[in-house]
Amino acid sequence: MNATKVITIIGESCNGCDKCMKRCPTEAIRVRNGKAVINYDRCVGCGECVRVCPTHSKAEHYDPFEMINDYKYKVVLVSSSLYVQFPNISDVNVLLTGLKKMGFDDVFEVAVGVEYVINAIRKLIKSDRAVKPIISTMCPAVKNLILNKYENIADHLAPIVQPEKYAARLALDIALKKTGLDRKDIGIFVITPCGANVMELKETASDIIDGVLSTREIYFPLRAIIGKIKRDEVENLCVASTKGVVCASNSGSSSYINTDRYITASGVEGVISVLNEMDHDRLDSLDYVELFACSTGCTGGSMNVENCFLARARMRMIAKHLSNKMDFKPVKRRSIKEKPYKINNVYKLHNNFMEALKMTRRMNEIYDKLPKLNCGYCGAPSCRAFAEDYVKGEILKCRYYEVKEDEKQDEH
Amino acid sequence: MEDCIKLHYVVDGQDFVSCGRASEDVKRTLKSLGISSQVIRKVAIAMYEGEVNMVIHADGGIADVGIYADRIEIVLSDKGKGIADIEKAMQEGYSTATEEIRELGFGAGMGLPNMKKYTDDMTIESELNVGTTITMRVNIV
Repeated sequence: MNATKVITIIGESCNGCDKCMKRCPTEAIRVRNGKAVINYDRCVGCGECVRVCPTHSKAEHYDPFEMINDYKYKVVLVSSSLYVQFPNISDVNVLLTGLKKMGFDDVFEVAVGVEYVINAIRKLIKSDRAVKPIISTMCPAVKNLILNKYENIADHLAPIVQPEKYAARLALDIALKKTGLDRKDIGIFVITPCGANVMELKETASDIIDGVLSTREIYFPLRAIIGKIKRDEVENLCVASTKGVVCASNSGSSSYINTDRYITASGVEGVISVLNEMDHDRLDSLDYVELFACSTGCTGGSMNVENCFLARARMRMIAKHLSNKMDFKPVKRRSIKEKPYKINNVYKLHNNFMEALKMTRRMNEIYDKLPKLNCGYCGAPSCRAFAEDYVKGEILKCRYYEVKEDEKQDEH
Repeated sequence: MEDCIKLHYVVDGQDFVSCGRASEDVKRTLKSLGISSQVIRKVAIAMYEGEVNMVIHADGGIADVGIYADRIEIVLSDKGKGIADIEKAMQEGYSTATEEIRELGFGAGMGLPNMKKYTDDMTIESELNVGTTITMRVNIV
C-alpha cells in the first residue's frame, strides 16, 4: 500500500468541482463536504488531478531545497527532462555547472542509470527467462497502476530497478570513495518532474536517497544562475550518451532494445488502453511494452515548467550533440535487479471473505438500482463507486435514487 | 442455502466490440472480494472466450455466475445451432467460424480449449438447432 502522500490538496482554494475525481484512473478521489479527498492507498501518482484542477488546488509533495544544507557533501541526480526546460541551452554542461553553483558538490546524470536499465531490459528480452512482453518499469505511475488495477499482468513488469535508484547507488559509491566521509555526511538528492517518482523513491530507496526535490522549485533560481555563467566557467560534467538521455521522452527506450516487436503508449488513457488489451491476452506476440503516464514521457512530468511538446522537441536537438557512448565507469558493480513487486489489493472490501461476500452482494444490489449516469453529484466518480462507498459505510445521497436499508431485509 | 453471489448477464449477439463486458464485470466483483489474481485471470479468460463464442456462433446468450466461498461457477447458455461434434470442437485450431469472423481476428479455434485449460471443470451439453450450455468451475484455493 502506498500510504505516502503524493498529492496534497490545498483546502482553501478547492471548490469541490468534480474534474479531478472524474479524471483519476484508479477512482482514488471523492468530493466530501465540498472538498476533494484523496485515498492514498489507491493513488498511483500520475499527476492527472494536478493537471486538470481549474483552481490549482493540488500540488505534488516533495522535499524542500533547504534540506541539502544538513549534509557536508551534497550530490544531485538530474533527470534528463531538466535539460530541456530552458530555452537556448544546447550544452548540458552549462546546466550541470549551474547546479554545482547552486550549492551541490557533485552532479550525477540519471541518464547513466537509464542506460544501465535499458541494457538490462535488452538482455532480458534476449533471454527466455522473462515473461513477455516485458513492461518497462521506468514510469513509476504505470508500475503502480498495474499493481493496483492490473494485477493479472503484474508478472510482466521488468524486474529491474528504477533508473533514479540505480543512478543514486552508483553516485553514492563515487561520493564515498572520493570524500572518505561517513554515509551520514553525504546527501544524495534527486531532482524530478514526477510526483510518482517522489513517492517511489521515498518509499523504496530512503537508504540511498536523502531527499527528492522538484524541478519546478529549483527552476527559477537555477535559471538565474545559468544566465550568469561565463563560457570559461563551464565544467565538463556530462558523461551520459544520447541513448540514456532520449529515454526521458516517450518512444525513447524502444529504439535501443534491438527488436521491432514492441509497443509504446503515453498519457494515462493510452496506457490504460494498452493494459486492457494485455489483460485480455492480446499482446502475446510482442517482446516489449513501453508505457508512460505522462503524454510525452518524463519530459511531460507534472512538475516540469516547459510545455511538454516543446520539451520533447528540444530533447531531440540536445541529444544530437551528445556522444554515442557514455563516458562512465562505476566504482563497484551493483545489482540492477528489483525486489519482487507486491500487489496491492486496494479494491478488496473486507479481509474476511464471508463479510466481503455480503458487502459485494449488497454493492451489486445497490448498483443495479442506480441510474448509471455517473454524474458525480453524490461525490463519487461513478455509480459503481457510489455503491462501493455506500457498503463501506459512507453516508451518500444519490439525487435519483434513495437507498433504503429495509429493502435489504425484504430480499433475504 | 449456501452463501453466494449470483450474477446474471445477457450477452448481446450483435456486439463484437463490447464483447467481454460480463467478464469485465465479474472481474470487478472478484476484486472486491479480494480473490487472488491467478483465480481472477482464469475466470476472466474462460468467461471472455465463452462470451465471444456465444456472439460468434449463437447470436448471443445468457451468462450466469455464482461465486461461492470455495469456487466460482459459470453457466453459459445459448439458443444457437449447437455443436455437432464436441470432441472435434475441443481440438485446438478447429473452428467453424466464417471467413468474415476470422478476418475480425476471432475464430482461431482456441475458445473451447482455452476455457477447458483455464477452468478446473467444464462440461458441455449441446443439442443441434436447440442450443448449448457450458458449465465451468474454477476453484478458489
